[in-house]
Amino acid sequence: MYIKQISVFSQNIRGTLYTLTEFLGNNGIDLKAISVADTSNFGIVRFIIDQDKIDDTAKLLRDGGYSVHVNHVICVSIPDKPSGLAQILGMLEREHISVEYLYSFFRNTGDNAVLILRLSDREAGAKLFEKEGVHMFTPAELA
Amino acid sequence: MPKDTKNCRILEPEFECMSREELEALQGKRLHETVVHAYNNVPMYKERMDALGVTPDDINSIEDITKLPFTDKPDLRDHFPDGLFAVPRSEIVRVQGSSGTTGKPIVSGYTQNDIDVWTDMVARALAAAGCTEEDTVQVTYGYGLFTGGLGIHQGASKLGAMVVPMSSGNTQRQIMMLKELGATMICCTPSYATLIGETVREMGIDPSELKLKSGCFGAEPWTAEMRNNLEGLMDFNALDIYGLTEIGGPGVSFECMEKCGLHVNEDHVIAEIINPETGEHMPDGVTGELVFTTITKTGQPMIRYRTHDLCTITREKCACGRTTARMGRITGRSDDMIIVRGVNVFPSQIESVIVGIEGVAPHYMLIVDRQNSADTLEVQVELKEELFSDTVSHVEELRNRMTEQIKSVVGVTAKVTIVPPKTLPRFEGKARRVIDNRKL
Repeated sequence: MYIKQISVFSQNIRGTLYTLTEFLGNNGIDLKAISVADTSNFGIVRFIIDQDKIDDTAKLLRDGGYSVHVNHVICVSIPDKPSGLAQILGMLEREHISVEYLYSFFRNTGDNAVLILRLSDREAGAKLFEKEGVHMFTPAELA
Repeated sequence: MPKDTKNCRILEPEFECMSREELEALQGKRLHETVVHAYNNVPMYKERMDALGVTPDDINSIEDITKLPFTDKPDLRDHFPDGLFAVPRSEIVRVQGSSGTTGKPIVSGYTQNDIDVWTDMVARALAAAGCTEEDTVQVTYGYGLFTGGLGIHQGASKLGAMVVPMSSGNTQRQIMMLKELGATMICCTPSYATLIGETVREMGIDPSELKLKSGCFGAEPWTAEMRNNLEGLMDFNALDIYGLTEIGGPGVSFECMEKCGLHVNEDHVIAEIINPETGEHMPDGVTGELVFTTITKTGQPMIRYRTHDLCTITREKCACGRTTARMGRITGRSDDMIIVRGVNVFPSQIESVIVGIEGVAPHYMLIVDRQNSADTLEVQVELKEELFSDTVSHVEELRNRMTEQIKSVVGVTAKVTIVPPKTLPRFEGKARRVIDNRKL
């Protein structure tokens, strides 16, 4: 039901993101989705990769001197059409679940867009999506 | 318009222009009295002198001063708040304070005599800058435990000047009051004076619209370049004034219009230069650590107090006529103290905040700079990996907490930068945690 996301802490300095993505690339890791949260002072780079490679990649990054945090997020598929996103957000709003952040996938999935969500209450969110028939990706689907 | 120096004068020539022999005889006598007083009334002095086998009877001339033990800032912290008072508390009429090396401040107790002595020293400094009862002095130093505001206030009042007790901050309002009340002198830190001068220019005010003729600036080290710049901005004479709470406050030494060193009020304090490594007494002209002994203070006498300020001393007679010893500008510190916007900051104070905060590692760097005439302090601290999460708010919250606590402990607002773990330098032996990019 949930998928694992890797977050890396970085300084808000030119070249930091390049160095990180180059490091991942050199180690054969394919990014499926990425988002960068920035403040004037620091940044947090969050990304989704092949779920079988999470532990190895986290270790690799730590050995490379990065601060790494792994946590669970929800990944859903939504119709790629006007109001597609609003529909999902409305669903959450009615249940008083807030979105802490969201970003979407690189890959093209035809009629659907793929969204990664961190919610104020992950379990309640997952139950809601199940009830409403919103497709949630399993780790195996992201392999 | 030529700068007005007509009232610049020697307030007490009987002391400020004494012959060296007379002065040294007076210093020797007063030193003996101070040592007797301290030995009999302050346990710390008795213990230390006993340990060295020195009695007050061994101290009869200024040459004997080297027999006495040193005192230092930690002594004030260890005996906080009144362990170094040499008189009953009922005779203390005031305390003033400044930051210590950790979270706890240091305080100094003053008898009425000590307030009078201090006032006298400031009055001499202001008189050298031309202050009379005809003058209006805008005091832009902070008022409170800090000695700057009250010290200048008392000295200017003694001379009969009109005091405008503005305290620090609110630059626009300072300038409005300078204009409206027509202050002829202003006293504050040299960096704040520069900011006021720049703001005056930005507001399109010509310095001739102000009546300023001079200012006494201290509480932080400054350079000849800063003086030239400041005098250019405000078209007046900018003089240096030096002091420290432990020895009394501003006025311990001051510049005259010759602008060639700061005259030490030697009838009230004895100045020495020592080798900071060995404690050895150094000859005049050699750069070393400045050490003061108070010889007229009764509430909390300080014997051989190490300032950790580095400078030289000359006892050659000044062209102004004063015979008192002159300190050169402070060129550095023999410890890691930094002065940010006039506030003494010790890295150990910042460290005490950092170790109290969960989520950051005890590795840090302090970066000091001067932007637009104002000092900036950046504190870089490492995030602990186990406390890093995927949300921004968590790290922001850590930053805010640190900023607040640093402000509360140190008294200055720092920019806190959280950096990834293991990215700050590690030190073997003596840590060098301060990078000072100011051109001082």
